[in-house]
Amino acid sequence: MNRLGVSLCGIELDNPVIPASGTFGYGKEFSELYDLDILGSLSFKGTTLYARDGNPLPRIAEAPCGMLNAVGLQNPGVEAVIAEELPLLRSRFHKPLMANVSGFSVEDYARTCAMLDREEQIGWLEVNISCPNVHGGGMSFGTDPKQAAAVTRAVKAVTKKPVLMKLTPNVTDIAEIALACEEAGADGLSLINTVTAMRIDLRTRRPVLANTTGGLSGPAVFPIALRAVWQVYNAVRIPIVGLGGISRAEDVIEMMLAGATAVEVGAANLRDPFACPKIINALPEVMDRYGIQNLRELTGAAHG
Amino acid sequence: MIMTGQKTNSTAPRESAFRLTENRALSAKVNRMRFEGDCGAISAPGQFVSLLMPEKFLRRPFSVCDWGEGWFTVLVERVGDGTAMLHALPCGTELSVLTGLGNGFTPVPESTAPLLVGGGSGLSPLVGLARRLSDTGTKPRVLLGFRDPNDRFGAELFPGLEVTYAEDVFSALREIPHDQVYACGSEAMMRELAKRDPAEGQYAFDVRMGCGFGACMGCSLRTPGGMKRVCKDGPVFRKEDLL
Repeated sequence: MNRLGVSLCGIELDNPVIPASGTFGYGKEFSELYDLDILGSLSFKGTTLYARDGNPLPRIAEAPCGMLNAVGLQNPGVEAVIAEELPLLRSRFHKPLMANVSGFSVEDYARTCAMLDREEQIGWLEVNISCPNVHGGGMSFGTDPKQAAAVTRAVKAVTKKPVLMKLTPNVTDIAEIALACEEAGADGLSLINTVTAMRIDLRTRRPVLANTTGGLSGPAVFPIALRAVWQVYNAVRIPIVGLGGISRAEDVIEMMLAGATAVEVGAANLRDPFACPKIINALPEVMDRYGIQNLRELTGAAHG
Repeated sequence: MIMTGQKTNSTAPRESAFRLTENRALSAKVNRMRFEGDCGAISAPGQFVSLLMPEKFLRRPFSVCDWGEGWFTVLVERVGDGTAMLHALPCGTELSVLTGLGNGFTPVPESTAPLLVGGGSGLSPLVGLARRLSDTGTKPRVLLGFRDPNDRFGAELFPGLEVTYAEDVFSALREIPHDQVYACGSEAMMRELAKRDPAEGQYAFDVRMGCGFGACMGCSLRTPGGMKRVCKDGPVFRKEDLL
């Protein structure tokens, strides 16, 4: 038996490590660096119904133990993704993919998901109702249980693939949103997206990011993500993909102990493009150190 | 150390450890830093490297100033915390460096009167380019723009070439006959140059980046051909990308 294997919504993964959406493009750049098939899966760049140019520059800022981004969902639109990105990705990655989808209306989400539902290689739809860097969409669906449920229902109606709702930590009670998604039919949850944040340039006395605010990610948010996964695990029965600041094998184990079935690695890919292979390579030795036979036995084990 | 699974059979970007062997002030704000390590992924002047400091989360991208077998140099202007830390590094320090990033300049063999235009420390990649153009028998002219004359430096990095300093590069440009421009500087300066100068040109952009290898969309520019990433589709752009 593969010690690293886990099962997410009925689909087997060779290991629980999945590059997070927005830090991995559509896999092309990383496929020049290493063999993508060593990954559990990959969650591709947040895709919308129509192409988006994203926000003005600067979009990136340094932070203590992390970074801010305000990219604003730049992507070529779902038709171009299906016509151009997925065929290339198919030739370089041979496992079920996670399709990350964003939208500006319930209808947007449903139409984009319906188109991606026809793509055989896509294993899961990961529905982002938590982007902090766009206006009139994104996070506004993830901060209200009724709207989160409405998006979930609309997406579930157009696909037979498992649907993961990706949640924001920028709420008072993330468990309430998670529960609303579960009751509306979600098959799983991904959490957390970035934490709303900002920086100011001392020389110009203006915000560093053109968008003023952005999303904080990296090790700085790991304890926040861990807390969110812990709380949501207590509230729902559907599986959780834990993400937020994971950058080493120990973090993967800690996140699984809190309640995650699989994990995503985000900002760490941007600091070190080899972060995912390094984490996967290190897992067996770290498991030995803590007397862990199989990763799948860890999910939620810290809850006693 | 090369990591297991890392592809090394091409000029794809590489991550490896480099040792700092020189960290010398060229002016009040700019240091030249020389590193030794595996430079097999560096293939063209105008490409860049990305340095990882343990204290910072994001890597810092710098144009390769010049390079050879097993070494490269960068020019680091002190603008904030990260660059101040780099200035303070002692020789012998080892850093993780990504090499072979970006497209770089493509020397145009038909050009008989090339002009290199640098904005401030943007002169950096022009040094390696000048050496390669000179090696093929074409001596470029060099125009270095500094808003404040007190900041001037760099003429000594172009041995044997005619170097002009200017506060206003756009006026100075008109006085120097040329059929091809290779330039590096801020986004504003590069756009202005592409607009005002009638000659063909290649323009290297200096912008804030996230990853440096095309994954995060942190440095995208709007161009007539759609959004382009400075780190992956650039940093060198052509006139038709900008106008």
